[in-house]
Amino acid sequence: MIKKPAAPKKQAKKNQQPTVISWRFAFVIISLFAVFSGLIIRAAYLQVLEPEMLLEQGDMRTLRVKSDAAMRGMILDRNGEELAVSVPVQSIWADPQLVLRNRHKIDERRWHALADMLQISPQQLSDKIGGDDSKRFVYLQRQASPATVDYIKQLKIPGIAFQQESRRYYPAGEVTAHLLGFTNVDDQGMEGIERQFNDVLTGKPALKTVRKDAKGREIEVLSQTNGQASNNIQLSIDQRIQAVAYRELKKAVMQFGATSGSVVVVDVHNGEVLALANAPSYNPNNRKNTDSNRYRNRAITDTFEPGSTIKPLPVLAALENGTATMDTVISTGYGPVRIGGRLVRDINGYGDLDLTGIMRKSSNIGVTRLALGLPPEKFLDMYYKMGVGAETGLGLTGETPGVLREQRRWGEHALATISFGYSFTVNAVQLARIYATIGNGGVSYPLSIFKSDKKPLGERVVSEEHADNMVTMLEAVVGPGGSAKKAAVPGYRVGGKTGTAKKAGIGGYSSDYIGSFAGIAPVSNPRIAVVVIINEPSGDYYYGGEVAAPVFSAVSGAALQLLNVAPDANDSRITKVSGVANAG
Amino acid sequence: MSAIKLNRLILSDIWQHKFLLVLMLCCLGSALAVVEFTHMNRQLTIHEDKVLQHRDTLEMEWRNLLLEQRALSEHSRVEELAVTKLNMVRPSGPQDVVVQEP
Repeated sequence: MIKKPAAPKKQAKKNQQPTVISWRFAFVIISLFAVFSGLIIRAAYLQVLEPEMLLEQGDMRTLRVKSDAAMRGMILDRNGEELAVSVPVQSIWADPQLVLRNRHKIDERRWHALADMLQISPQQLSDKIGGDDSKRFVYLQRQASPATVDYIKQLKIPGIAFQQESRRYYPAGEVTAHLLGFTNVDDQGMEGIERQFNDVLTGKPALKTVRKDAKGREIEVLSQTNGQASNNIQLSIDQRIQAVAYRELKKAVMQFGATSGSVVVVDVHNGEVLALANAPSYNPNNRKNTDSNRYRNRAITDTFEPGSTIKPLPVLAALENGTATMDTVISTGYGPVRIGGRLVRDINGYGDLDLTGIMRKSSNIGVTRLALGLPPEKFLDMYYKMGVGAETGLGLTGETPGVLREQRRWGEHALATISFGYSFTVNAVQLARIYATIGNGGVSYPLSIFKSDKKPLGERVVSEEHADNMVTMLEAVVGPGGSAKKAAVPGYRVGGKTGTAKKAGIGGYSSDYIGSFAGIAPVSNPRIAVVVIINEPSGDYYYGGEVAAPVFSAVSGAALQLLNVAPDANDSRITKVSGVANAG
Repeated sequence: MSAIKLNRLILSDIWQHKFLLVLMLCCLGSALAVVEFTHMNRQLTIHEDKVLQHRDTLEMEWRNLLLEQRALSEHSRVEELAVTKLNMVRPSGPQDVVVQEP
């Protein structure tokens, strides 16, 4: 401090020399020192000893972890058409604490508008949020429509927030419902492919730690972990064939008053499943009020006694073991025959039949004679080799292979019933595999639901000659005098076998039937095997040739055209083009 | 007189420590550069974030469009339209003419 010189005083002139008052000086110095050292100590304390608290507070205000959720992978058909697609949607949630604290400030009309958008009453909305202001989270609506979200955003009600989620859509709806299954509201697969390959379809979200400025802009990326992209799955299903198969099956199930039905279409050259449909189906995009037993993929889970559709196997067993040739004539008589103490009967008396005749007339007595002409183990070996009692290789969850029970001693009647398709069970895909094997010249492939460029490892179970003979015999079934004229496909030569089996009920066979048809097309160079099962038709018609054969005809006709298989019937017209000039 | 002397003195002193001066200027320059580049970095990050958000909206739109396309081109729907609206039939049997390329 500089003192302004006071008015000059004569006697004080000597004292004008400034002097240091030492205690004041010391006080000032010490004070200054104390102030600065205090600041330095405080700064050092904050910077060196205890910086965490401030860093934490700063980070709390600026650091954000962003999760870039990977969308669930898509499911494609063999031609790359999307069968299941995830779409980002938003969920609406409320922070009860914020809402309750600001409740008096919220305009009543806005509150009512919010309730309206959520399609609940204002009272219900208040109940949902509750009265507990320590709660910080409650969902108001999951997977809301974008329009709802936009509207509610504009209401600007404090404590109402939104969360990114995804919703799964199935463009083909009920056509593919059983095969694909569905996901729950949390994007986890619950049924079918969605459930089984949940891990493949689900990716890991990428996490990004960022710093934001006051305006909420992202200014610095601090760390980044790469997520794992989700994978798409390509199925062997051809959506076009699948659509036709489902449509025709649905029609037949309704027409004949059946409780359910299944269709399986298999490519015989590699065992890939081209279509797999069940009726009745459900809408996977809106599963409200759907009875849960409709979710079952009956083609793989439901087993049944196949009845006459199995008859190619005893005939093949006889051919393979040399106990019969194409020229062998079997006497089936003109009435029931007692085998092992019980009667085996045909619908009519057929007299003498060759193998083709047995197949065409579906003679129970005929196949019984063939079966009993073989040692039991040789006869049953054909069933096992064809995959009866074994899994088909599809590997889908819920697949239940039928059972052919081993016995130490086989009674004659038991063997007889096995030869015409009773006393053991199969499911629809097993039956399809058997026919695919016959169509493929006797080489059995495991079935597959995925498209693959590699040919799977096949196993020869029947010689090519006998398999080809069987295909010719199957064609006779569809031809004149056969039991399945309705299975004929215009333009193509097809072969197949009908089956009409009584269903086993409590204490014996019930009056319900399973009408089935299994076939191969085209006969000249088989490409597909088709199995149609119609369960419990309730009308006047229940024979496989009446209820299932028309479905086979429609499905295989459409499938052959879609697969660009040339018609092989005699009356089909084939024009040969020379040179490429005409192409396109 | 003495002022001029002082100027000279300062200048000559600076001249004697010209190396230090250059270092100081460099230091200043680099500090400014750090500020400038940090700013640029932030602008780029902001831009990146915007572009990524744009990508997300585009992807959402794409998925919705894809869904719409699939729903509209669904095989059964197309077939039904062809049959009911356009009176088309699937050729079969004798109508089916196969053209084979050699």
